Amino acid sequence: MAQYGIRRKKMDELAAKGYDDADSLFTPAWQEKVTGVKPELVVQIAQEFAQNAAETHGKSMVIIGAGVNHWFNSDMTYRAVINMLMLTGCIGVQGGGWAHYVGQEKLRPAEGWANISFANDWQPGGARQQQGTSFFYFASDQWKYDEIDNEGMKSPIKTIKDTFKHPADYQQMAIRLGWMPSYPQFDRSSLDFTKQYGTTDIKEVSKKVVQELKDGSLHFAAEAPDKEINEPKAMFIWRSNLFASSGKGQEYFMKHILGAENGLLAKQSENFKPKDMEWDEESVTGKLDLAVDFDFRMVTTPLYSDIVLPAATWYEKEDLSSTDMHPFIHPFNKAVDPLWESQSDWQAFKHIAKEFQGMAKKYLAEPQYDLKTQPLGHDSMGEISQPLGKIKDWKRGEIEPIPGKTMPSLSLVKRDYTTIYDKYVALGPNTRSGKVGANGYSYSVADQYDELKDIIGTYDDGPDEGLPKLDEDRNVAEAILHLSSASNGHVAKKAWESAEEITGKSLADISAGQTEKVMTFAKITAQPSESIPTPIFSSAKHNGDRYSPFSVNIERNVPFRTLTGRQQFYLDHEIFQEYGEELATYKPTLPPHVLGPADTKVEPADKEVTLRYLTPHGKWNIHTTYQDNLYMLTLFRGGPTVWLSLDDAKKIDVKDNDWVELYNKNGVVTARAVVSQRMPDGTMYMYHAQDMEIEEPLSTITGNRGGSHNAPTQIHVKPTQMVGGYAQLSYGFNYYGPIGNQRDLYVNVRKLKEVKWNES
Amino acid sequence: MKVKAQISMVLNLDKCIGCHTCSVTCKQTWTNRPGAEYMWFNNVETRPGVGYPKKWEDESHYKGGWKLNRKGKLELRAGNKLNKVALAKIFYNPDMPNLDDYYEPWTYDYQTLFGKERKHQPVARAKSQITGEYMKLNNGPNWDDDLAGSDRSFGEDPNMQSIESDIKGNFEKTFMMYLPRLCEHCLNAACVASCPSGAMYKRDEDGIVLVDQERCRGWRFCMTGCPYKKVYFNWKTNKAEKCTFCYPRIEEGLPTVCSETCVGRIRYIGVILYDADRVAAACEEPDDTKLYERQLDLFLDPNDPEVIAQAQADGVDMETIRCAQKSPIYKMAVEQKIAFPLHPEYRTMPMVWYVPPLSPIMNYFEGKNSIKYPEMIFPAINEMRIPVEYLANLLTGGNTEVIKNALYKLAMMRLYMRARTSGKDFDPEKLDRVGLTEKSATSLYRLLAIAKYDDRFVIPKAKKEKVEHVEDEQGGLGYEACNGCSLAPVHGSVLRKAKAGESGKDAYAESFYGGIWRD
Repeated sequence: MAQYGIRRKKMDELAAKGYDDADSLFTPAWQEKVTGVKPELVVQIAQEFAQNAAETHGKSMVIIGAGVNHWFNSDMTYRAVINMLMLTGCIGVQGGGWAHYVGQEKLRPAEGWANISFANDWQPGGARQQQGTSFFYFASDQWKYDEIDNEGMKSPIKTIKDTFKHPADYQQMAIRLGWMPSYPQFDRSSLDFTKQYGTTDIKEVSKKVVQELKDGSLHFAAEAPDKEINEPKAMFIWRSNLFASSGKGQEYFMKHILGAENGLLAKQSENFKPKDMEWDEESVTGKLDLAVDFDFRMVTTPLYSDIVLPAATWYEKEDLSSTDMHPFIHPFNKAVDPLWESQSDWQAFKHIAKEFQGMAKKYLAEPQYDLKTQPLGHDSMGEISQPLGKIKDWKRGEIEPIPGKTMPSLSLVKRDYTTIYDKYVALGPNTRSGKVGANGYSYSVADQYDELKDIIGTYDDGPDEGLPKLDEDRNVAEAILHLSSASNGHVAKKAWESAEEITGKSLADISAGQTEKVMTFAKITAQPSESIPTPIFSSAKHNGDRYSPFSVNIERNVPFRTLTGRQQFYLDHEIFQEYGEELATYKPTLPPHVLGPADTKVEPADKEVTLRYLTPHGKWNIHTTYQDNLYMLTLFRGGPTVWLSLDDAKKIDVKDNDWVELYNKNGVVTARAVVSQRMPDGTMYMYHAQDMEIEEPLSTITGNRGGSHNAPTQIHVKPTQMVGGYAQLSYGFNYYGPIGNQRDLYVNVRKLKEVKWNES
Repeated sequence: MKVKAQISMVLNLDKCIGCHTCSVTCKQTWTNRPGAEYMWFNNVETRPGVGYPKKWEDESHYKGGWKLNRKGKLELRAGNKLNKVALAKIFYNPDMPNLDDYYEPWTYDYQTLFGKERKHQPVARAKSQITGEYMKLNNGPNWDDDLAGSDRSFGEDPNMQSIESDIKGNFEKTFMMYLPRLCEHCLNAACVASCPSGAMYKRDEDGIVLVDQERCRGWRFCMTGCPYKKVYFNWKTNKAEKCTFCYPRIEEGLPTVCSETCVGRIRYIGVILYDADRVAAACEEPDDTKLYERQLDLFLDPNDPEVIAQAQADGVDMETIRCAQKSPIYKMAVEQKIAFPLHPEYRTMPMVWYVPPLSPIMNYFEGKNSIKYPEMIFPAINEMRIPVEYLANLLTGGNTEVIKNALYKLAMMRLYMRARTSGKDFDPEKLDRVGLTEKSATSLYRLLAIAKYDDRFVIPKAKKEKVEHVEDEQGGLGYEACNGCSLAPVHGSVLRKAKAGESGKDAYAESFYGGIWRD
């Protein structure tokens, strides 16, 4: 606590002398040096925020969008803000608390969606999921160029033994201890284990896998990402412009994943390498054999894909939409049928499944046993399997490797590839016999399954005889609505009863008035409907009150899903201790780094300026969508632009609308300058998702096409975000893992000497 | 007194986020045609900025609107019709924006993105929609969005000229706001007065200003006359085009497309009754700063029995009168005086009004407790990031007092509602100081913060029985009229033209006017 400048005893020399004590950490006067915000303003806002919370019993709210969480140390900022809300009693209060709007991930009808999406209706637990940041950090070989020595970020007072300098080493530890998922799993096909071991008994298989890991005859694939067997070979890209707008470190993707024209100036590190990974001096270019993309526009990803499937737009298909921005479940309805050969996603995958099933009859006729690793998940036993936040690494002999406890869990999934299509088009019997749920609650939807047979109809004969039909998009939407607690009051009732049983609290009244509310596609087409409160989210609000996160914890005393069951200021895991982040603290941004001494030399320009490079969301596109639309381009300057302050532009003799070139080790962008007094000196913007297929000239530095806004970016992973197997610090699909931050970056900006479009 | 009804609009700039949805939906509906590529009947400007077309407010250059002659009489700034003929301006009119003042519309060579692998990844480059040639992009309909290129545009905004300040180039003092613009459907429309062919007209029943495409001869004096530069020239048809206030929708009681699709719900549409007999006199008010009040003075109380009686005598139907009584425009402009016309000094009596935006206070609140001391707003309004003078130059011909009074009201209403929702006492005397009562503050809050569709858009349907024989119209659009081809008669006219030897394409272009079929 000494860090916080709080007086703990009478004569405390570390205590701050007051808000105006600029020498003491964390005072309003001290922060001005970092943020440039006047101390009086900070004090005023803090007091008004707290005063308002006091007067309204917690109705002070922080609404936060994407922005803060794109910084390397954003978790510190987030925790600081959340701490403030905890201290002012705002968490779990309607109209107060924490409103975090990043992505559109509040998938309200969750049970039905997860059931169908991951084929749990046929085979629970068969799907593999992983956070993209870690996957692409290895797959695109960015780990080989990482310059961040973690030594400089650690606490001076806490050292842990066998620690690491390289971020990739932390990632390896996270994989082998079961903290983080990583696929492919091992340097051996997951279908080969049972054949090789001659058994399909999971206990036997586990024993042998553990033995092989210990004696070194089996390795995690992530330890050698450049080994042929560990490389990604085929990729289906769907709903993403991966090779431009979403792929951070675009030029690494271009070089290593695609083997395409690229602007990468960095060279593999020679002196800074991970110790637990295989280092291949030869860099692999073009790992992919096949890229299949679904899109309705010719942007970068389809340009670089082998096969582009024409996708239907949202005006051409039936679908569901629910977000964290509002509590309603909306339908998408067709305005027109999909144009030409385009198809909805459901239909496109259906055709692929059919084709695949036919091929499987020839190539994979027998059922296969797939060995699957799974990290220690949140809301599972695994989340309390590594006690006291102590790191016990089996690789160093500190503990035995025990699947599901000290390493990832192992399971065998029996795969019959010859029935993929049959399973795709019908709702499988497991939905009836098994249970659905989330957050540790589970309940039967057998009644709903039987009702669905009447609602969407069943197959009269064939392999799916008697099973509800999922052949059409709309049927899938109906099934999702009917099986989920947010959209079917009967399921909500069961969910709350399950929650009552587990928590011992009285909760069923929360959805009581809404038991008869059963959404159908036709009903929400007539009028989008507010979702029903359910324990798989954390709001206890009913009677027309708005959704308010954590109100079920605050109002109904349901324990938080944390180690202590309470809101936590303090995190005692060893990695957090190592980095001095047990409590929220201030960590500066990563140091300015444009080009390393070993990277490709760039001939210096007469006038050049180094600027902080930010890529905030723009107003002429939603991520990549619409960025190439003629109206949007007409409404703002018609192609890639970057924003510069008046003084920075002057320094390099750039006038408004002049062409500039910007580069760092990660890549090069050519764009026109927007000179504006709205920009502060020292910082530039290139608004997010400005792609490289519109008005993007060649770079004079590389001679190649300039990159998208992601060309100068690079993935930096933070070790504290890989901690797992420790209550709330456990893996959860789409919720947990290292973030793909890209704001702690700098570029050099100069005038573009010559605007050239093509080789001539 | 001669009572006329005018359909009008108020835009609450406090809520405009500059998303341009209005512009895009308008363009998609009305100007996505050959010849109309560069037209944006509705556009959104970042202010300070030069707008679209460039520097449209510089009337010393464009000669739009009215001025008073030496006798104090109203006269078109560009000169009257006789003058035009005498000076042969009818053949050469220099006082007009040219294409570069708007922008040269472009598209992309999207097709280059398909095809064989090449040395470098292909790019779609900009190509002029006029010449088909590759072009360098250096202007657009919203080129200075969010202060882009402010080193140039900040100083070129005519409204900044009279403001002595160190704002230009000063990051700390930067301000901006959005100004969505459409045709003003003026009471004293300069475009109508300028038209030598009588093609430009102001509809009797609702005051919407339209161009008769049959009568327009393409002289383009309307473009000069309109000081807002909201009449455009279609280079393909050689006729003038402009915002129609979406009259086909208005006739059905529906709001304009720009209003319907407004994400921030900043737009309000309603009826204003005004005294047509006094318009000319009001326009001849010599003092620019009083023109706003003179215009306000033309608006009649729709609940006054005398006004109602006269309105009926003058042919205004009861439904329109009832709508005028519930008009959100009347509430904001007349009752609360928080809405203002755009550039009343042009003397056209524009009927699209604006609520000025509040903006962060530069110094006054810092370190002080604004909740405890609501009277702080009085000095604070002068310290707003957006200078009051700037707003006055835009909206009141320079009258800062009325702008300030509106901002006080808006700020005080917020403080009052804040106190109320947090269960605090609030001295009603403070409301009184800005001309509010607890009731009127509540009603204002409702109108500005939570008003629903029906509160924001109070639009009478067209009285069709006045213009057509309703019995005769029955069955008029059925099977027979279109030769059993199941097309409506307007469509049928295309077939007739096609039969007469016109190519399908020509017939189509001739008959299709911005999404509305014209026979």
